[in-house]
Amino acid sequence: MASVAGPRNKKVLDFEIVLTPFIDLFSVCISFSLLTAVWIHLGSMDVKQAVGGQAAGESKNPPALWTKIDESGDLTLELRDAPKVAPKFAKSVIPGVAGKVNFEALASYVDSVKTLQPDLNTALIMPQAKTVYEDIITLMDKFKGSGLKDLGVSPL
Amino acid sequence: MFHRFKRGHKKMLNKSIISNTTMKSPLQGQSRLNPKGGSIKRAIMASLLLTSLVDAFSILVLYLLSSYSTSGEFMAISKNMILPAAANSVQLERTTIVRVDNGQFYVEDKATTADELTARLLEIRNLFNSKKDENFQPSLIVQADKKVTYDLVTQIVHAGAQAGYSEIKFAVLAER
Repeated sequence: MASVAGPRNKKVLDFEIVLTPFIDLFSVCISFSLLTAVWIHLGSMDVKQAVGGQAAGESKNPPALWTKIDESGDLTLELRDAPKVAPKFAKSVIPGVAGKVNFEALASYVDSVKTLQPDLNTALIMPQAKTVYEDIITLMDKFKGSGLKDLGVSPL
Repeated sequence: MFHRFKRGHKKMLNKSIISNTTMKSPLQGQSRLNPKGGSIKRAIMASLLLTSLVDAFSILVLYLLSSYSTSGEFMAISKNMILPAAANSVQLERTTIVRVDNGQFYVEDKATTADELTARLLEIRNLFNSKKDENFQPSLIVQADKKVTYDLVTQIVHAGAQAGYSEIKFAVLAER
């Protein structure tokens, strides 16, 4: 006997996702992440000893930018072993602004020098006794940002 | 009184146009205008919109997972110390930590005078050398407040050079 499928035999196709386990899982994940989250990201500015770090057998020094910071924020920049740069351009002074280092002028100077001497990758920083530590780090940061990867700092 | 009103209301709806249309409509009893329902019942149970809650949780989980650091915190920073910030910094790796706090030097959290810095650093270096630890790096992490002057920092640099630490890592706050 054939039976005609009526409305009673229809399967219910609609279904609901049970969200409660999802919420439980998310709550656990969030709690764990909040407890283990590192809110302060620390980094480091790696430098090498400026003077006396070179090997004795090294015959030719790489081009380097020697930077002296004064207490007034003045920067005295000197390019050494950079034959492609004209001697009058090799030494320059960037005066500080209101006792602070003029980092914008420094960035433009380094960019112009890098175009003349593309293999310039070394910068040596010579701070004074009363130079603020933050200024030294910012200077290193600007140098690294301009492509001077090998940094050195000289002791007093 | 209420039952009488209910009955009267039902009779009134049965005679109305709505009653005829809804009874014959394909919606049958599913319509909200179902006169069979009699009195209009207010839904007391409020349903929570869980989908939006799950969405918010998902965003929060993704944000927290993206900012998750696997390196962990190995360096404690005191409350009154503000590290300088730098955008081009590299990831900090665990080596010997020298801290300057209020003019006092600390080598691995042990208070040290400026004169003893070199000796203390040499001691640590010799300790690792005697253990033949291959993971030991001859580098120093300098942790100092951004307002300190270089005459304090240079003592660490100088002592490090004397003790054979060729690389100095200045701890900074990484800017993103």
